[in-house]
Amino acid sequence: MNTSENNLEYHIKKQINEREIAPSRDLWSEIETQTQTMNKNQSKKINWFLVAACLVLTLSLGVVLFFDQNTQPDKKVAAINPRESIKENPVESETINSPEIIQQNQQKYVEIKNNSSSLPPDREVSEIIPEKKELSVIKENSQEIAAQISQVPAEKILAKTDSSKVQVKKKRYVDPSTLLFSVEHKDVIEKTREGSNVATINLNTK
Amino acid sequence: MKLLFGHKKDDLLSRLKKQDPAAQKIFYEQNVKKFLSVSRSYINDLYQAEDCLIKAFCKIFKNIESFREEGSFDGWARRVVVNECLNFIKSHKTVFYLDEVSPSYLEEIHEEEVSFDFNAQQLLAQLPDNYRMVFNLHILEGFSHQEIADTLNISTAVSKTQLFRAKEKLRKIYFQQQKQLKNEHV
Repeated sequence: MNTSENNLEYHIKKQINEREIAPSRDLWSEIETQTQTMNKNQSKKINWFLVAACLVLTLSLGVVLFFDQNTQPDKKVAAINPRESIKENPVESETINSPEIIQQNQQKYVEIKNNSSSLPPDREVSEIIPEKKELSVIKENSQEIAAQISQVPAEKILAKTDSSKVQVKKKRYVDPSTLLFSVEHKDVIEKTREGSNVATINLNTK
Repeated sequence: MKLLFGHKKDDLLSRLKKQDPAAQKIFYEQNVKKFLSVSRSYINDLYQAEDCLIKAFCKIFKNIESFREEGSFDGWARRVVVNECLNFIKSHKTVFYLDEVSPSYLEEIHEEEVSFDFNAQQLLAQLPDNYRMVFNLHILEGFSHQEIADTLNISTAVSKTQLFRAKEKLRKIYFQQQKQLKNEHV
């Protein structure tokens, strides 16, 4: 019988498995360049995916914004309401209620009204929107005023409600001669119980 | 020591999976000579064998994620080299498979008492491509006839025939070489 060690195939296998052949040229440089190009191609593929994803995003955003613009006027009105509901912030309410801002807003309102005849219709709509806001501010004040009205006597109601609409800062005119007098005779001026300043002058003295 | 060696191999494999060029070079330097020997056993021309090896290494690095860690990584890489060589032979040469031989001829050929002083590469180089492919897959890679049939898209009967004829031819070549050597000495 033939043993495996005497077998020709066995010796061929042994020789082939044990031998090592050194390459005749630099194979690594070729492998390196090929693997680098493969990696570059893979990264290019990823970039294309990114570009495609960006395109889809921008398109979808564009579509959303396009439809959003069509329904914008309704949304703007709706957006005002939550702002009105925020009464917790006292600073904001103060700024809204301050007579200077109201005066400015009313000036703008008057200007818009005056210019409205000369403007094109689209612009007119866009500038009317702040006008609505002003109205809401007035509404806010009206609630506070309503509470005050109950405390104020009936005779003054008319005057108060009028003043609530137009809270104009009262201009105080000072007579220069009285101002000079008050400075010169500080000692003579006394405060009464009601809070008014009274100067007592003895006309008999020289 | 074995544990340390195992850890190093795992580390190298994980680095190869991350496409680390330094790890790729280490793996290349560790295996290039062995794999070139395998490649040369299938392809006679050294330059072509080297070309196949370049492609095989690129495939190993590229498809390393498909290695499921069921067997050894070296075995998987060797299989990639063999497949690349087989693809090269199929694509560059038309391989003809001869008709089936009746099973009665498929008997073990008894070796004579000879000294096995020969060059295996020289013997394999003289085999036709179809014989050499089947012989190498069966003897060197340990494939069954069914596996050879699946790999080369042939029937198991053809695989057996090719192997038988390859062995027969190898012996003829071998004894001719031995006779020539004896005559030279005389």
